[in-house]
Amino acid sequence: MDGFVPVSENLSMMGSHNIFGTNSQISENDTSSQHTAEVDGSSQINRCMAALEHSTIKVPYEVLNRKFRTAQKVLEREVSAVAACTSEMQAALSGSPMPRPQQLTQMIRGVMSQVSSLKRKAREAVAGEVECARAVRRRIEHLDQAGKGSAAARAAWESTRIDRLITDFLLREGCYRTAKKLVELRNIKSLTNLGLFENAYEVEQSLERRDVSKCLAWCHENKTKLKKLNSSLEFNIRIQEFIDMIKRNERMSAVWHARKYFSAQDCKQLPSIPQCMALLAFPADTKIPEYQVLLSDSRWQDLIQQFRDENLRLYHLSLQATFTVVVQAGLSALKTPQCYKSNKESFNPDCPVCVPTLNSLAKELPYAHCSQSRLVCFLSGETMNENNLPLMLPNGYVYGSNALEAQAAANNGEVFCPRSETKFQLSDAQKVFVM
Amino acid sequence: MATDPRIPVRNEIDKVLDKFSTYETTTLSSLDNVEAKLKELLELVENAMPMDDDSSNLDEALDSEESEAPLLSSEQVSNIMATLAEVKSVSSSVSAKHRELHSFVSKIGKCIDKNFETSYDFMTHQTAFLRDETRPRLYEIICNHLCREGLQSTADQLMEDSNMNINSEFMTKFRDVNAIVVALRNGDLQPAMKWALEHSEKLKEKTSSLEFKLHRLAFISLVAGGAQNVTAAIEYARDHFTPFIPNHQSAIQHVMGSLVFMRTGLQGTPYSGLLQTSQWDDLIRTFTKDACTIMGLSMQCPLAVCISAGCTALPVLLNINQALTGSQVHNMWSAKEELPIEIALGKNNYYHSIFSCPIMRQQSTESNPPMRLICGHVISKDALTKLTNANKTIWGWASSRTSQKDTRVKCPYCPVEQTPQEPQQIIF
Repeated sequence: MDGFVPVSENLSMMGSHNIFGTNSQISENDTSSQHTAEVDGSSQINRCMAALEHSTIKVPYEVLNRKFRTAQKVLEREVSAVAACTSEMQAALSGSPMPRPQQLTQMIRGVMSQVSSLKRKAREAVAGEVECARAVRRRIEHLDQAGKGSAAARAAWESTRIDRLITDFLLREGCYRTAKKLVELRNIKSLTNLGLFENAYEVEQSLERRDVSKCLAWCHENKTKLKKLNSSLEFNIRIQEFIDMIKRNERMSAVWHARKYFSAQDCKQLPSIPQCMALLAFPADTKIPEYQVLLSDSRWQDLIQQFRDENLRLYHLSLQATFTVVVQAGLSALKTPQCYKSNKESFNPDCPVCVPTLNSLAKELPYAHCSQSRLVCFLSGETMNENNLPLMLPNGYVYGSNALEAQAAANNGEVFCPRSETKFQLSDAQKVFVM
Repeated sequence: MATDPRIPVRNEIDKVLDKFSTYETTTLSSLDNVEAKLKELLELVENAMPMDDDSSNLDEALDSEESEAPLLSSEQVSNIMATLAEVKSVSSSVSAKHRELHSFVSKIGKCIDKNFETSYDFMTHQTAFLRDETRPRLYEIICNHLCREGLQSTADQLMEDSNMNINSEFMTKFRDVNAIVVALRNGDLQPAMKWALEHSEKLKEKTSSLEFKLHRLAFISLVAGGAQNVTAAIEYARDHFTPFIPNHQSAIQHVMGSLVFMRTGLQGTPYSGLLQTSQWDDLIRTFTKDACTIMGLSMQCPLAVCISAGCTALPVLLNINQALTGSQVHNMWSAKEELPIEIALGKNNYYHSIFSCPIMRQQSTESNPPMRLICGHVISKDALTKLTNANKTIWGWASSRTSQKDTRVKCPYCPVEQTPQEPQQIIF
């Protein structure tokens, strides 16, 4: 890595052999570190797991955590019910006169029914929690299959990984129905977070229809967590309601609405309130840009986006889909200057970055780093090395000797350069030495 | 050696599962005891009640109540009180013990966050990869991938969901290819035959064995049909195998040999391999490959290749990102530059030659192409310029009269000297 800068700068100071000496040392280090990385397969899988699979296990864990909290609430409610009726009975027994036997049996029956209800609820809760914990474990078990078994099994696992990544991406993008279809066709429901997004999809759909009720219900359901995250979602929804009232010219009810909801918000939201309230003074078709923004329909799209983000944050998911991150990293690792040559002469249909769509996606990404030349014959796709010497035709194009010699043998010593569409004699080709 | 992040998480989960089962067997079972005690209590009180007392006759009971002596002795009362106290304590322990489990549950979460990467912040420094202009392209790539996987209906759904009319040529092309693959999966050779006939010129150019494989399978299907097909099979072979004799002679000989066993069936003969479903899988592979090359598409799905490369690259990038945090190189993910580290993707994922100048340690670009010195050694244009200039400064003082034409550049690798004009630009 520290290879590029100093060498050229010291060029005039040192003899050329000296330069070469330092270079070869660096490259040796480079290749040896690569070598270990390639050999150590299980280590690579471990790194890959750590880098990619956080959301795969974190989501079912969050589900378990939620299940636990609701279970705890249910249990506490049941326990206090038991405590209430026992206390009542204790009070009755210690008081005078003594309760009548019928009352006593009734009280005992009451306590018994509360206890059995507690027992039932507790068993249900624990069964639910255990099921959730097992769901986390199943994901881990699936991850354990990575890189194991026959080549076919490994390929199948990797293909499932692509399906999982795409599903996750589609769900985050709000393409719930596509994701559902994919999950059902590939039978990977237990490996994806489809269930988590089902409710979110409904909320998004209702927001799309300009209906805030479901989103508000969702905000209420997750009130404590959203508060912890300092979410402004509910406030923004309330503002949207306010704006809609203004659009409908119901200015009086807008004021009531503002009084009711804006005052309940955190002081952090305060600065945006005056701007909003100023809307009262303008017509709904105002030309002032600041207020046009508030009144525009794109605000609904922003709300949907905010809802999506909050939903992800609620489950501690990274805001970027693993899919896009992986695609970016992959494109970058494959990207070479050759994929972007202005005359397109190096176009290779097998290279993902040469595919037009991916090519434009990768435009802004960094190129792969390559400290050691690696030469691939344009004709055959074979590596050019000491067994397949690179040969330069008189026009400067270089091809592997294997491919050129095969052509020459079939065409009386003549070879064809497909990139310049010219013919040459093989005897005119010159050797090329690449260090 | 990176440790396996799955193991600690699995251990924590197992611990939680264990705790839950203990909770169930001890704490929840203690509720059973309490229930039994309450039952005893109920019996006790019911037994203490006067047998002739008619419980429905409430008024009478009310009247008689005060006059009667207490039904339960003080000992019994305190007994009841003790049981009630136990009910209270056991039930409150049900919630208390459950609450204690929380620390174990939350340990799983902490363990996950500790062992797995939680965010990919380093990639957000730059303009977002996914934005309104790029989104349709990514969707298109996904659609194409789904088509390749034979999930046409899912691809159609994606276009509907995204409100994007991705009218890619690819999808229409692939629709036909997929229909043929589906037919082949169902054992129908006709659509593939038709396709092969339409493209037979191009297939011949590529010396593809697709047509032969199609006819061979058609022939085998006849043979597998049993003895009544003998004449039909022989006629089929006569009609269709002749053009393939030059390229597939031995294969034809082999497949014709199966005729001998038509009466008894091919099972258990040297020809049983011909009946295996792998023959069909092989045919589907050959067909897809030929169809892709004829359409100018890659054999492998570009998205799959890209994801596989990404899965190799991402851990390395995250690792280096961690190492670089705090150092001056904080924005490794920026345009035009290179990744800070080389990622070994394996030979199969190298699609282009890359020339990295052995002197400058830089990849060649269009403005800095590789130059072949007359001795055959290759260095980058920038390196050549630097070498030329360096020679000028070194020798400049000695003979100021040396004109530019006379500047000689020595190859850094061998003793050959040349003028700066002699090296030739080459294209790998």
